[in-house]
Amino acid sequence: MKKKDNGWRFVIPVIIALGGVALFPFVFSVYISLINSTAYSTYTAKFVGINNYIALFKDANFWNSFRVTLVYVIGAVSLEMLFGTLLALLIDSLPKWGRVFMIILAFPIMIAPLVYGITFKLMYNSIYGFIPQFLRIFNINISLLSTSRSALMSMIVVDVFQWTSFVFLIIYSALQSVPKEPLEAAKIDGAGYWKSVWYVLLPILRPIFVITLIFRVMDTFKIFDQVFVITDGGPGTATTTLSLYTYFLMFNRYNFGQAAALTVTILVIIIVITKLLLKYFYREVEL
Amino acid sequence: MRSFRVILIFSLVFALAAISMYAARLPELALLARSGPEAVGTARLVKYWNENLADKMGFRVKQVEESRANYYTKVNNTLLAGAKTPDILVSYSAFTALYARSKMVLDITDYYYDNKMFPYDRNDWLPIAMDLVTFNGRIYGLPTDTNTYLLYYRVDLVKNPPNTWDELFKMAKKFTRRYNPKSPTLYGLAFYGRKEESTPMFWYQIFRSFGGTWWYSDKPAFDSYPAVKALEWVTNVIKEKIVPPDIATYEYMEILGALQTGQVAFAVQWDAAYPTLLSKKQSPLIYNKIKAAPVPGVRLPSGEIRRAQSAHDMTLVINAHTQYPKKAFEFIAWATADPVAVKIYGETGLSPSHKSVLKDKDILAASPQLAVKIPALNKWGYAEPKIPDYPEMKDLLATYLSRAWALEMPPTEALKTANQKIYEFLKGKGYYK
Amino acid sequence: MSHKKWKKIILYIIAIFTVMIVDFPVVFMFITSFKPISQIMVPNLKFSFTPTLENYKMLVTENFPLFKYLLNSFIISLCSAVIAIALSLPASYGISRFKEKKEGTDFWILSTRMAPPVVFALPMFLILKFFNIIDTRIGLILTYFTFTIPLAVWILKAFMMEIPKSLEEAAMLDGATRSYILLRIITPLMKPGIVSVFIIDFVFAWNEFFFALILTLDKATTLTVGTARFITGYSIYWGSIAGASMIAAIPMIILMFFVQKFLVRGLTMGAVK
Repeated sequence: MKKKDNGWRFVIPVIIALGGVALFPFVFSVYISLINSTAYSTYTAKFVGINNYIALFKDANFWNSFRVTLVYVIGAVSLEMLFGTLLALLIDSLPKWGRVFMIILAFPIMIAPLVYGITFKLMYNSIYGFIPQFLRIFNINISLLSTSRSALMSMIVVDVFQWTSFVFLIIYSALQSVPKEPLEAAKIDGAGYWKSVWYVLLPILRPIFVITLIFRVMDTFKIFDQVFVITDGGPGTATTTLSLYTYFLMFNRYNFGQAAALTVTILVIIIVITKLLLKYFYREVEL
Repeated sequence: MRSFRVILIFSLVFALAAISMYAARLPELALLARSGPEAVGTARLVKYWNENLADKMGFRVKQVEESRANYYTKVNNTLLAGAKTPDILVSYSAFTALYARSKMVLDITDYYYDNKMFPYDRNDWLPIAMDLVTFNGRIYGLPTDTNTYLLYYRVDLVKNPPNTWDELFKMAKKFTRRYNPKSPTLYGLAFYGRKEESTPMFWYQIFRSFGGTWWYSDKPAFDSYPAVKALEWVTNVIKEKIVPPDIATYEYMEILGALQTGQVAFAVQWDAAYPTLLSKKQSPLIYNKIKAAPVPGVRLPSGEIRRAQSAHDMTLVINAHTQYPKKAFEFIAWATADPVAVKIYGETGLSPSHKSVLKDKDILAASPQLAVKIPALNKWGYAEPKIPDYPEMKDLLATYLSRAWALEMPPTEALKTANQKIYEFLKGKGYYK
Repeated sequence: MSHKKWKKIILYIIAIFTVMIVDFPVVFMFITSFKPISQIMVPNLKFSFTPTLENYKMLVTENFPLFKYLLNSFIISLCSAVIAIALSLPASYGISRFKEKKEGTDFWILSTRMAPPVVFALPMFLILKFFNIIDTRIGLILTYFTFTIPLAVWILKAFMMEIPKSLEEAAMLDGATRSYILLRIITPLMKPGIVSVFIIDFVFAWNEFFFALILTLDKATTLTVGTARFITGYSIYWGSIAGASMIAAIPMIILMFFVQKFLVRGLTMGAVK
């Protein structure tokens, strides 16, 4: 009998591949976050300990960005998960043409987020944009990007429009691969459609559902492209998300130390959120 | 044995041919440009260079374009990481002091004053143009164009452009449909509002014409009386809804669009928009109804108008890590100062930073903005504060200006906070002991 | 019977209606790509316009090497998706079937995707410069591992959990090795998962902007970065951007038609259970 197989040989290649590209940037960022690095002293700066972190946490702009990002993530991700799952259930219950619908519904994620942002920039403009003009037909005179609240809402709408497709795609392909018998059995037992989805299908889908959720949380947490082209964080600081704020610190203010400190902070925040999500929602199902 | 010799000779000949071909191929310098009209201009220069001058000067140039989105991110990331290429970069003058301090960009002063390296007229530059690329007497780039803001107005609505900010306010109100249902335009005025470098630069003009200065002794003076008055002028315009409601997201495109759709009567916009606005193809609704004037100012007791024109250069700078510093300089000197190059560039509808372009009919026809802006720049042009930490300072200011624009913060508070932040920031950098 | 038929028709109507909403921005872009430049920004809701190809003509000028961009994007996206799956399939198998000590590993894999790329761009540039692979396809492919691999590992892991363990145990009793099981038993059952991971990784790599902007100059420029060049200093060529995006979507749509047939319903897992 050979010695016990611990399965590392399956995992090592990925660890090497990722270690090669992901480890150095992380170590480098932690290092930069501890020195007072700027454009003219990138590599020769002094060690300042956690001063960059202290300065960051004292800055009201950081807390504002944190709040904006939380609102953005909660708003966008919950809507995407809801719509995406409903859409997947709907398309899955069609007897024919399901996969054609799938391809058509995947169109939005095929467009680069930057370009998607540009399209919405064109649609949102208060003078020549499609949406305000369309609303004016019904005598609704609102300007989408003028107030803090509506601007953030408008950004969430862009995200929901694009990434609902992502949730849909994963949940739909998961629905395609789960065994259908439990659902049929529940139906025979006389449970209604929604009831059997809730009690039978969702528990099976739980791991994939939670993982999709985690990926959406991670990606909306670092949302950049669309917000950057549409509002550039404005009006005021209403849509300055954490990653946009990192960008400003890094490339408008050349305050590399604080930008790196913020990156490390974001990483910690996401790790905590992900850990919590995994701990409280993720159950591995054994079949 | 014989076949071995044949092979040997063949391979030797092949190697020699390869080496000679390699030697015959001229070195090629890469030029990074920001896509848009300037890139069209520099592309023409590059083409002319490669066709007519490359053999004589011993090198070719290749242009690479990058989008406006994140252009300076790309430039500064490349320079910071110490990459060897691109050799030449299109940048802009607000970075001059930063470049000087960080040594990311080559100090070209010695080349510039060497008559062999720079055989062109040094007195033909617009004075402000060279001032913008100079820091502590050293030169860090050469200007391709010098830009400023102009007040665009509809000649079919008003005969004479407003001369003061108050006049502009009143006239713009008259052409806002909210106050005048018969107004052909929906809003009276449009200007910058997005949190980017053009917004503070627009606001500086009101601030400076109200009598503001950058420093109060050696401390920042952005909370001074003129500053508050200037910001109040802006917030009043916004509160009265004379400008489009989403003004806080307005930048070049939106202002241009507002003018092109015929929905605003006035706009303060960069001079480079003039050829677009006068083109029948690009602006079919208003191409024959638009004119430009210097930005408004403030009437002094003497009756004279005090104006202020923000100015910045588009520049060609040389990567400090390039392998060909001399060649790169030869190209940028030619491209910015040689009369042939100036003509090629000017006829693209751009505005070379030279006095002599006012005498050239072809350039004036292609770039009508020159006739308005060169006198305005000579009289009222000024440079932004020249300290290496200026980009960061400007971003702090822009953040709070934008909050005032969005009516999130009253002007006094916004400026007070901004000034305090700037002061603390500069103090942290060791400006005050 | 007719009740059921009505239900079907209503389902299809709802489906078509949602498709219209979800794809509205895409359709808007499609229409914009055929509009003359002067009619894109109009202050009234005008639906009639004379379609033109001028936006597409701007995509084939000498300034815009569309085919080079397309080829770069295609090779980079394909390689980063395929290699990511090839590496992640065994990894997800290893993680889901051998639990001990791997909780930390799978979380670490996930965490490489978490940080915003803004700050990471500079160190990434330094590494690629060190290995002299700035502005090469291989450089971008390696960079994209940071977001293609985590997604692949975790989604494949979740799909793998849906596969009954009894299957493997039966094969083990017959003397099959782990590798054999992975290749011959697990992988065929994982087709829907692999396909959706492939599509999503491919799409992510295809659309990535920030790293592609920073880490390429000319030779390895992708279509997304190329398209962004129509956001110029002084104007946005809405029509050409929309047109380029439509062209960019075509390879992906073709790809999806190719791979969708692998989304075969479950291979009747119940039967083997």
